[in-house]
Amino acid sequence: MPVMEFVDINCCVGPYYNPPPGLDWSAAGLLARMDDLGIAEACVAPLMGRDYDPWMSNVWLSENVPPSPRLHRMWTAAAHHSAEFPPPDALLEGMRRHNVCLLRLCLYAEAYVSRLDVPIFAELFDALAQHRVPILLDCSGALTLGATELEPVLQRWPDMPVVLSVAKIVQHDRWLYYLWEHYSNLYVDLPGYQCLGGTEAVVQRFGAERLLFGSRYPYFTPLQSMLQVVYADIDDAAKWAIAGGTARRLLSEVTL
Amino acid sequence: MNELAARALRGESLDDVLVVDFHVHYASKWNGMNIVVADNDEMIRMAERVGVDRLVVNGCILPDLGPANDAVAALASRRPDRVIGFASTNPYQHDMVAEVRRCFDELGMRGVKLHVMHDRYTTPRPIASYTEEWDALFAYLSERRAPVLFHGVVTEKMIADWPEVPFVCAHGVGSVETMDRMARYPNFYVDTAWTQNPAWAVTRAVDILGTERVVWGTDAPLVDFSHRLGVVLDTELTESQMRQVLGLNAARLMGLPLD
Repeated sequence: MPVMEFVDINCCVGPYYNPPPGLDWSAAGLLARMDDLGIAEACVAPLMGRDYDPWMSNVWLSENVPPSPRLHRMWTAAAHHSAEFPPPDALLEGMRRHNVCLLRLCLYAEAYVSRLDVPIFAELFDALAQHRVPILLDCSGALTLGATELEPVLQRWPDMPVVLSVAKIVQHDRWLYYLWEHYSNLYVDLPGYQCLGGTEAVVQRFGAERLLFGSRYPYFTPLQSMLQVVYADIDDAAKWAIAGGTARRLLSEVTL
Repeated sequence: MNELAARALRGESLDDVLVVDFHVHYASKWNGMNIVVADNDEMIRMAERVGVDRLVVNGCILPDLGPANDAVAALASRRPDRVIGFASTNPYQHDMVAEVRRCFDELGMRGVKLHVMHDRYTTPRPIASYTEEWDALFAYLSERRAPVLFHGVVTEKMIADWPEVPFVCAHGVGSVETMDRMARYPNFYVDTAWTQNPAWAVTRAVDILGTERVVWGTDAPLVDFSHRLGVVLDTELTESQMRQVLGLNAARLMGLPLD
């Protein structure tokens, strides 16, 4: 039987204020970890994207993560109205030029970080949906989102794949069931979905394509989510979809 | 990648490794949450898939602790191959020494679970303020050398005053400050449970407290066993240290055979 191929939808590299001890935060360091654990590909964002500056972090990523079939560049998104960040057309042109195929929008509780304001991001989401660019909503630092905030986005931009990365849903996840039931463009990465039996329940009710292997490296070791896939009580096709099949499909559908 | 991690990635059950989950709740509804696996047999089956040998189960999430302890004991009695019972107690519901003695002598339990959630809502006075009751309980546990798994409730003074009682701080690998402060007490231990505790926190706990004072726990049925297994298997620890954290330390605390 062929080895299951993992595609990590959510990892970061680059300098940060308090990196985990012993971390090699370079692209080479990430590739070494991927080789060690047998991860085929990874979508990689700048670690400083949230707490330093979105645009500067994107420049850093483009200069320090070389184009590679194994590393898919993921830029940090931000509102453009203050002229600190390119407007959507220019942003997508930059993404095209720099081989960037998805965006990460950091949504935390802190006052200095964006909220998921539809009027602010509507132009950007129009552009992303037009090109089927996935957006990873990173609220891993705090549980700030619910159906009230997410539903208008999923409803208005059905062609924009939304990958939700939350801190710890554990069992406070009933709102997600509602959204999964109604919106096929919602995906959730595994580090926030660690409920015992949760993987099996979601696969049974909504299909394996609604969960994605993501490690949230370097905070977590990728092995944690990999084992969640390996040991899940689901069939092999479902495991392959979660491990990387669905991520590969999403990336292949980008039309930038 | 170390050999244990490689074997786990192949989906092997780590049969030659004693794996003891020191932090398991009786599978039930709790806190109004959508507990997906609220059936104890199903929880045990899922633990077996990952190679967990023993589940140390407490009933502290159930509102009425006497019947909760009975339910845990019934489960342990039905599945003695997998389940070890811990008694849940607090000073609001009963005479703690009498209840824990009943749990140990009549129900075969091996330790005690204390949880800060018992201090909510209608508490007549802070749980830690029941000094005489706690002293009586810990005096009894001292005689038995029985471990306490605590989430809140236990103070530094209690740990200092009762050196014969092993106190295991639930979720403790996540707090450097606490581990630094408490490292001087040889009876202070930590477990690895909590969704946000990363692998490097386990390594850090071993650095601060020593390998023998870190025990593996998951918080099941809230959390997936396999996800938490990775938190130990992908560390810089040696295989020998991993084996201690995954099961040998917990077995020693409970006086189980070390195999």
